[in-house]
Amino acid sequence: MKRILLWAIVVVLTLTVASTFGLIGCKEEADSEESVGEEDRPIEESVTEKEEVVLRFTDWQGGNDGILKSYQELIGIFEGENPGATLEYQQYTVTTYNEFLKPALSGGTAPDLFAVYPGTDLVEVAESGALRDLKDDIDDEWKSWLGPAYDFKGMWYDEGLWVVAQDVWTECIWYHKDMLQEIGWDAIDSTDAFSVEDYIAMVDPASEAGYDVILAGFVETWCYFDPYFNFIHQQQDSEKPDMVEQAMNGEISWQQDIFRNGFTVFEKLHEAGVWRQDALSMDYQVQAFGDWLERKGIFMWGQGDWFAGSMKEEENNPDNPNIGIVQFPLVNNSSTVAFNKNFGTDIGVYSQGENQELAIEWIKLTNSPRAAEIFISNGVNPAAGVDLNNMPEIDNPILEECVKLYNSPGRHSEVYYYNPDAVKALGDGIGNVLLGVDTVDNVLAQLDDICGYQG
Amino acid sequence: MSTYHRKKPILRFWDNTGKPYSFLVPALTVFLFISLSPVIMSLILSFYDFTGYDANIFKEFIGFENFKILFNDRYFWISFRNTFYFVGASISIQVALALFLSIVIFFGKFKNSVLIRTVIFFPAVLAPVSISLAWRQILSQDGVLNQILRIDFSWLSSVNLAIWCVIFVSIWQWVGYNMIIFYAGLQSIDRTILEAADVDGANWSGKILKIVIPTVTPVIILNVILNLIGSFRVFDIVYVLTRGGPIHNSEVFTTIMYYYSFSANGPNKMGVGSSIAFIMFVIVIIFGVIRIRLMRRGEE
Repeated sequence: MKRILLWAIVVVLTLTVASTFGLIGCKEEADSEESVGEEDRPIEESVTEKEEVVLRFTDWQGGNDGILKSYQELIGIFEGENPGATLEYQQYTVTTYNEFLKPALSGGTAPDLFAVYPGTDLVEVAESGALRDLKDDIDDEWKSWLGPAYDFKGMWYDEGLWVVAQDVWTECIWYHKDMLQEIGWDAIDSTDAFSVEDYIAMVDPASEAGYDVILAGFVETWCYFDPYFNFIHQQQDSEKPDMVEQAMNGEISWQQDIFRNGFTVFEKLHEAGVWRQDALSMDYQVQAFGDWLERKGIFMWGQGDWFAGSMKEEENNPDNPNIGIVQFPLVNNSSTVAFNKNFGTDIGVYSQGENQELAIEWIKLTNSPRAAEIFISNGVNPAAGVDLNNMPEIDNPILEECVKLYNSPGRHSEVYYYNPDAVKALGDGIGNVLLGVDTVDNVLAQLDDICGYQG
Repeated sequence: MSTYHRKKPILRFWDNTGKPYSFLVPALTVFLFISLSPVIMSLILSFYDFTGYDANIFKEFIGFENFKILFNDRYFWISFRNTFYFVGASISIQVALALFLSIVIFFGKFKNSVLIRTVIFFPAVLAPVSISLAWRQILSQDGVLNQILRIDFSWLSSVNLAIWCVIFVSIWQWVGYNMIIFYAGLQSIDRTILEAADVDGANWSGKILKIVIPTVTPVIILNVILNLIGSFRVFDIVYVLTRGGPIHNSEVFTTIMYYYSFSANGPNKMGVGSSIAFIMFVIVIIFGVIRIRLMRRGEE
């Protein structure tokens, strides 16, 4: 009895102290909320009065020097044009970004501007109410700067425009031209593609020369499903309707040849040894790309134009433009080349931010023609369209190729779909088929289940 | 003549027992905030549909749905199996190997005993991330191991072998740590008993099984407990070596929890991640209770 009484006293005292700390915390939070309310007035006013305004901005481009240098220049311009405004830019890496963003959003401490992974993550963030719908904020001038990028499906969800692209990529395959020529093949146009059989035919001569044909890293499953979507779009007669989207929505069945063929491409390339077995356990950004830079393989199963800033200068200069790009493999004789034109980084505005108008000004600046020049000078392909007839001077040959490719007409291939479970099952499914632990038919049947196809 | 003031019972009670117990309050407050509140929070979150992005954590109560998702996910069961492989190997293979090494070095009377111990212990002082990066290179298809063995095999892409590669690297790193603890324990053995056994004509296996091991049993239990706790929460080695792959086949509890909660373009189901955290908590508690019971029985 005595012991129970003692413990009761200890527990009560502990709870009292704990709740006191808690209440002090709540009080401070309430005070800060009040102060937010007091300062909640149009930003123009606060800027003209030269009050200090600090905008915080984060993305996942950690390690990307091109982006960092571009933003450093743009921040200088922005702060010069908005006296009293300071922009604090913080980079995280792709794999750790959510560790920062999730606690920040759920704790109500998110920065004024932040990047969101396009595709499935965008749905969740938009639905949480953390993003401002920018649809009505983008004026005609801004729209004209963005050009076709304005219609990127990955920025839109449920008729709202939640994020805006800063840099873009033409997701395709990169290669060393001299290594390709060494095994007896000629370089082709960046708007063209080798077939699956072509790659398979390269395996023996490449092996004799001591090379891998393609270096790939499939740990990030988007290296499976992004090209897979391309394979499906190649086989469609026209861009619309998008059959992947129809299947994702459960309108058509996954269990048909056009979807099976996408798996077949992966199976054929894998079984023929076009990439090594351990591509399945490698990451593309560091391991595969690192090996490719060291010329261990001819091609790189690429995922973006940010590689343009990381090329070795000795084989990427106007005198020796040795790096080339081609589109994803053609599925069969009747398929048409499709371009995976996506965006790299995007930015959204925090709906609870105090300085949203100023934040929007920043995004607009990053999409402006002068920002495009800055991005290009730092090896980054800008989202703001570039006039092909009036191209700025680019001393990075592969970047020039990327900018041209992105701004050239061609069949557009979407990679952003809003059915997270299906996208996850597809990525895992392709991997499991390559590992031999699942069958194509089983994966497609599972996809029908997930997507709610009724037959 | 002195006067004797007898204190009131309540004051006596406060002085003798209340006051000492009140000293526990600061520590318990910290414990509540830092240790207990995340456990309670993860239990609560496991009943909510929480993506991690919502400011309103308790937006939608979904009962046991997160647990249902988890139990229907074959990758969770793979992670369950792998975690127990990991724990099992750490408390059996690693402890046995460490004991073996410590006995060999202790009784072997090697000239360079200190150097040998240092070399074996050395990986334990390195960061698991750097060790994993080094082993990732060694185990890659064009890595040193395949070149030595003259084979072309992808160790980390093998569905069945990937987790064992991770376990091997973990054992390689921590066996020296266990060995040093055993080595310290072996120093407490009374040499005269061993000499008496020699006089009685006991062979090596007899001396090891009947004298050495019974003497170091408390150290064995200590190493088992340390490895049990360490291996349940393993994350870094798995994440850097395989990131749970190929296709989730080397996931353990912590990595699949990370995948559900934070992974880029992952499921964004922090409620499910919380369910895993709670399941882990329950399993560790069960092991903790078993450990306490066993130790008490041992003491008795």
